[in-house]
Amino acid sequence: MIHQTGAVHLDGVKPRPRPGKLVYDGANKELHFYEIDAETQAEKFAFSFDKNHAYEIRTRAREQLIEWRVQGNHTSALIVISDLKFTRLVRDKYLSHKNIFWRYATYVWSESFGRVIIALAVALTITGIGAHYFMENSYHLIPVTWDKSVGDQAEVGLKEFGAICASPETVRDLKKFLPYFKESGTPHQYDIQILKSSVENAFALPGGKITVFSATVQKAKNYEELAGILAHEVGHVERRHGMQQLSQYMALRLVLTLAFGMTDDGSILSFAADAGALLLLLKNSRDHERDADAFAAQKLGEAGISSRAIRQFFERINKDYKSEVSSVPDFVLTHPADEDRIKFFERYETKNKKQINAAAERLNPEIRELLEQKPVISAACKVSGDLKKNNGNEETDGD
Amino acid sequence: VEAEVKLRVSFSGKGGEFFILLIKNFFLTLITLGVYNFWARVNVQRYFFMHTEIAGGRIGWHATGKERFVGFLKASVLLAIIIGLNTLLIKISPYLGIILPLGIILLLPAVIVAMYRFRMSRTSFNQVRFRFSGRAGNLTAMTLKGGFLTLITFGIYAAWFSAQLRTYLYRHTTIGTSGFDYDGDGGDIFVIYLKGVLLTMITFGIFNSWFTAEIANYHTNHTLFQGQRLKGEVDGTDIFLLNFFGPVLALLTLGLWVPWWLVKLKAVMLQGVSLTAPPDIDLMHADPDTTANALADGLADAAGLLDNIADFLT
Repeated sequence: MIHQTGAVHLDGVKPRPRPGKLVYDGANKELHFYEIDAETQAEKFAFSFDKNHAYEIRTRAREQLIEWRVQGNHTSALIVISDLKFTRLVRDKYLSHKNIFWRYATYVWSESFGRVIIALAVALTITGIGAHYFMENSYHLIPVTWDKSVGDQAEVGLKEFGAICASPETVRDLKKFLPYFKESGTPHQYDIQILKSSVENAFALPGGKITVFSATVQKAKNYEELAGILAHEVGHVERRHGMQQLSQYMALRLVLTLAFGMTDDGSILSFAADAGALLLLLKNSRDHERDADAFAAQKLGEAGISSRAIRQFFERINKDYKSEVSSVPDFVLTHPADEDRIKFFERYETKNKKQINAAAERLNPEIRELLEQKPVISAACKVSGDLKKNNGNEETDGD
Repeated sequence: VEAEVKLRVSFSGKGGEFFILLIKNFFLTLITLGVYNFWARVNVQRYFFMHTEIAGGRIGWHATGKERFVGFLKASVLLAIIIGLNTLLIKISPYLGIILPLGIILLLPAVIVAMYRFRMSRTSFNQVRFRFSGRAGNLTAMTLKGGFLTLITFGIYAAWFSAQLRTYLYRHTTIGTSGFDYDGDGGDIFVIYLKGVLLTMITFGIFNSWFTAEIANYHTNHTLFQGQRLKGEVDGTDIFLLNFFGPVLALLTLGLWVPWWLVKLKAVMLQGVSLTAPPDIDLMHADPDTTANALADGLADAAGLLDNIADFLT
C-alpha cells in the first residue's frame, strides 16, 4: 500500500520551506519525500528517510511535526504535515523498530485526552504509594548514632525560649520515671533538664535530651501529670520522630528543588511547591503527636500509672487556651485537638483497665507515693508572677 | 509574496495545553525523583518556542533532556573534583584555598559564553540554527572593566555595562549567516531605570508593569537584524492587568490559573515585538556550531543544586 499526504520540508540548511508530499511505501516500509515545484507543479523525488536517525513527533495545533536529527544535535530537519492518520502510520509502521517507549513518550501525551487522564491516574498512584512509603521509612537510613549529634545541634535553638536552670531535685524525681517509659535496650541516653520560662511547654530532642519548661512543673498538680508528659516525650525519642521529620524534610526539599528549584523561568511555580510541602509536613507532625500519645498511653498503662492526670492537664490547657486554639483550623494545627487526645487516653484506659490495675498493684511504693506529690522546683527555676499563656502548642518536640 | 509577510511576532500557545504539559512534567519529575527535571525544562522551553512565529518562520528549540542531563552529570563530576582538590589545598595551607575559587570567578565569562553558545545552537528559525561566536576573552576583559567601574560608581555604571554586554552578545549572534546588532545607549538605560525604580517605589509597585514594558521595548527598538531595526510595542497595561489579576485568580483556582497566566504573559511580551521590514531569508544559510554543548548549563545546574543543598543544611 502507498499512502501519501501533503507536507512541508524544512531541511535545516535553508530557511525557505519546501512544499511537497510525503509518501509511505508500506510494502518496503520506506518513507519518501517528493518536492513540488511552485510554478510548474511538477513533482520531483527529493530524498528518502534514514531510519537510523533520532526521530521525534509532536503536535502543534492541527499540525504534526516530525523532526529528525542527523548525528549530534547541531542540526535537524523538520517535516510538517496535517494528517493524523498518516502520522500514526509513520509512528506505528515505519518507526516500529524504534524503542516503543520513546516512540510513544513524545507523542501520546498530546494525542488523546483520555490517555492523558489514564496516565495521570497511574502516575498519581505510583507517586502516592512511593512517596508515602518513602516518607514513612526514609529515616531508617539514618543511623541511630546520629540522633544525639542532631539533638545537640538543635539544642542551641532552645535559647530562644529561655535559659537552662538548675533544679536537681525536680530532675532527680523525674528521672525516677524514665525506666518505666524507655524501651528495653534503648540506644538513646536520656537526660532531663529544666528551662526557666513562664510558658508551658516541653521538648524532646533526638538522642534523648528532654527539656521541661519550669512553668509546666509549677502548674502541675502532681507528678502524675508530669509523668504523662514525660512518657509522651520519651515516645518522640524512641520512635525517632525528630529524625523522621528531618529526613522527610530533607527528602522533600531535595525532590522539590529538583522539580521546581532548577527552573529557567518559574518563580511562580516554586511558590506553589513550597506551600504544598508545608501542609504535608504539618499533617505528618500531627501524626507524630498521636503516635507519641499512643506510646505514652501504653507505657503509662504498663507501669500502672493512670492517665487521669494527663487528661486533666489537657482539660486545663484546653480551658485556658480555648479562645486561641479554636480560631485555628484543625488542619493547620501541628497538634491534634486536645479533646481528641483526652478521648484517646480515656478509651485506652477503659479498654485495658484490668492490666493497668494489676500493674498498679506491682508499682514501686516509692513511685506511687511520688505520683501524688506536688512537684518541687528550685528557686533558680521558679517563675514569679502570672504565668503567661503559651501559643497553643503544649508539648512540641523541638528538632 | 513578500508583502504578505507578517512582521509581528505571533504566539499561539494555549493555557490548556501548557497546563497538561506542566502536569506531565510535574509527575514525571516526582516519580523519577527529580531526574526528569532536565527533560521538563526542555519541554517548557520548546513549548514556548514552537508556538512562536515571525515573518512566516517557525522558532524552534532543539535541546534534548538527555544532553542536558549528561551535561549535568559531567559537570557534577567536574565540580566534585574541584571541591576535593580545594579541600586538599586548604589542608596544605588555608591560603592555597583561595586559588580555585578565584580561578572559577575568572573562568565565569567562559562559562557564560559556553551557555550562550549552547542556547543559540539549539534555537532555530525555520530549522536554521542560531549561532553565537563571541569569545570568552573579550567578555572577561569587558567584565573586569565593567565590574570595576560599576563598583567605584556605586552601581551607576551598570547601565552602560549592561548596554555593552548586550551589544557584545547580539553582535556575535547570527541566524545561520545573518547577524543581529544592538545600539542601545547606557545613558538612556540609566534614565529608564532611574525613572522606573523611583516611580515603582512611589506607586507601591504598580508602575513596575510599565517599567518592565518600557525596558523590554527599549531593548527591542535598539535591536537590528540584517541591518533592519526591530520595533517594540509591549503595553504596560497588559502586563499590569495580568500580574494584578494573576495572583488573585491563581489563589481562587488553587493554582490552576498559573499555566494560563504564564502563557498570556508570554504572549504579551512576544507579540509586542515586530520587524520593520521583511527579512531576506535567502541570506540565512545554516552555519551550525558543531562543538556547542550543555556542559556549562550543567555546571550552572550543579552549582545551583549544591547551593540549594548547602543553603538548606546551614
